[in-house]
Amino acid sequence: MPEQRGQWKSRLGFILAASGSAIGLGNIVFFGANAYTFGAGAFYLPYLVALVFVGIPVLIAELGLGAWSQKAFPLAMREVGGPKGEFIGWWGLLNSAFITAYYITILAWVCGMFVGAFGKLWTPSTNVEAFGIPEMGNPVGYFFDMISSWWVLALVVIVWLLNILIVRRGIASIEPVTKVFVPLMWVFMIILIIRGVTLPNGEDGVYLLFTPNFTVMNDLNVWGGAVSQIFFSLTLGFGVMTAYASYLPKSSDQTSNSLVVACLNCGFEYVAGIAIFSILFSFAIVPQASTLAMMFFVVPQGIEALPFGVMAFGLLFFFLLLIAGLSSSISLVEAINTALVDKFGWARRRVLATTAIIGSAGSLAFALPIIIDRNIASNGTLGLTLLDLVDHWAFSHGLIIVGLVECLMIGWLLPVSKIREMLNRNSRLHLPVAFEWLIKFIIPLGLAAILTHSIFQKLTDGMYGSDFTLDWGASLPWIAFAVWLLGTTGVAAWLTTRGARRGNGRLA
Amino acid sequence: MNRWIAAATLALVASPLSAEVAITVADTYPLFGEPVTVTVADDGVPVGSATVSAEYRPNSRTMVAEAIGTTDASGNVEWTPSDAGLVRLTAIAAGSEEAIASKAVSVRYVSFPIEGILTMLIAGIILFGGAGLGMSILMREEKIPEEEPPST
Repeated sequence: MPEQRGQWKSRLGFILAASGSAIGLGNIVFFGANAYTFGAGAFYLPYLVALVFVGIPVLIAELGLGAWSQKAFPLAMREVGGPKGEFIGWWGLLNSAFITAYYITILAWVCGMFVGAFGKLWTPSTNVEAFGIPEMGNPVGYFFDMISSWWVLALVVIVWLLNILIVRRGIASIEPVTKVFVPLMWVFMIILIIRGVTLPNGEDGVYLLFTPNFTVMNDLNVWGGAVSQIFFSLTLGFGVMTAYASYLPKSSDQTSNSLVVACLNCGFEYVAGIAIFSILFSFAIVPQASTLAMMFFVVPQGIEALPFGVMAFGLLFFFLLLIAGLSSSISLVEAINTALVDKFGWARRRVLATTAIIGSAGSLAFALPIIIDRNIASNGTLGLTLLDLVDHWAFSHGLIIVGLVECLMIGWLLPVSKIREMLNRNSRLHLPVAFEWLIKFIIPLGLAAILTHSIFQKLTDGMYGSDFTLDWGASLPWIAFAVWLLGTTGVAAWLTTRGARRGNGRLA
Repeated sequence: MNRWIAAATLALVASPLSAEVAITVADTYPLFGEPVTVTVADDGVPVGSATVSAEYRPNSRTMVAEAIGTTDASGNVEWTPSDAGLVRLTAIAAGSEEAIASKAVSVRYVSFPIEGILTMLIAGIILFGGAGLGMSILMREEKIPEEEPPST
């Protein structure tokens, strides 16, 4: 018997859950690295342009779609574009499922670092047993020793259990948790800022973050980087926002909701940048444009150099990462759960069991290679290569493709004027007609340009991964690409047709 | 490489260029535009004739490389930072092309640049002003209204 759909208890609950979904590991560490790479303060101009002209409009469209259809992403898209729409909805969710799997593996590593922060992480060196390296400097040594040990598998299972525990009753159990997690994240981040800017010359780190270097403004990669940052940071194309908004009444104010969620998310990046940069400047640590490196090596190095309170700030930092990651991962898991419940009318218990078993298997698959193949680098070993390749396709391409098709379908098939009318009826903030142009023309063109640029790069530089492929598996990059493309396409087609045969796909 | 992995493994395999050779800067936080002495020493013994260079904003798309000079018999060379921010100093031994030592240094700003203040303010006003505006509209009605009964 189909379960009754719930509803958010309060606007605040929805806002906190949606912003908690958007604020994740990438906000805390990757934004700063991106800003540094792309000209520091100069990055803010394309970043804010991307926020206003891409991020907020797509977020409004996704939230509007959820509230309008009262359905999870695939069935909401079906209402827009029929079976083709449902197919792209499932395809997006399957990309999201791949991402969820390795995201939870990374969260398990965060747990491992949190445990290490009680002491071992701050010792001068570690004997990395897996690689036979004596006396490797920490935190790098500890990190690789930890992720190559078997107990990581237990951590993966624990993180999955935490996710299932939080989403067990859907939004009814998600709402109270995010009401605690999200304010706590802000408090912890403010503590880190205070610690950062009160370090010797920490305030110069703030100058470094915000002082623009305009020499990069004519570099298209900077603009592409800003659009990608906004798109991914706001969890667009994942189906999460549509799923969350489907638990709001149709008459809710999605324009204001979008504005708040987008600004809180980017505001968090703003303050996280200040905290991270003040630490980096004070201890002369050069940032690297990698989330793993920033999260597990660079920032811990800064914490380790603190004159006092190393353990306390280390625990605080990794606990912050853990709750930020959890508030994002539960939204990814819930987007999948909601879609399965809506489509098949399964009992929640059955959906949870299915998601947990398949998801855990996926996360374990990402954790296992570096445990089995005990070599130190991803280059030329299995190590982190699998995670790298899947992330490249599912995250960097899958979500952009979903965003592009989603905008075209909402823009032309729904059409977007219908959503705009509904949104304007329910909001004090009225969307101008330019919103329709953005969804129909400008954003699809921008996303298509990013995809074209990426394809062009592959044609000129070779297949992604060919420069760090395995000695014994030169075809792995192609296999990963094929598994991603055929896997997501095949399963999405199967899910779409399955419902139609059972008669469950009949929608208004 | 992508956003998650890049440089993660590099950090692991990277080791000090030389266990003994070290670069020291007279002022831990040199000031932009103010000369400072850079010393290259091998386990306390000065390294003369070493070529020292600076990379401003290393690992970024705005990185600028600059030659500083050659160390004297005391292993010293004078450096006047031409920009503030993070800088990587590298020393290369005479007659060699390989770096023998490297050090990251934070060069202080003379004052908070006006364009930096403007960027910080504009970004802050847009982000927190936007969140505040939206919240003020939403919080006028905290409870979500019950869904209207379906029309028949």
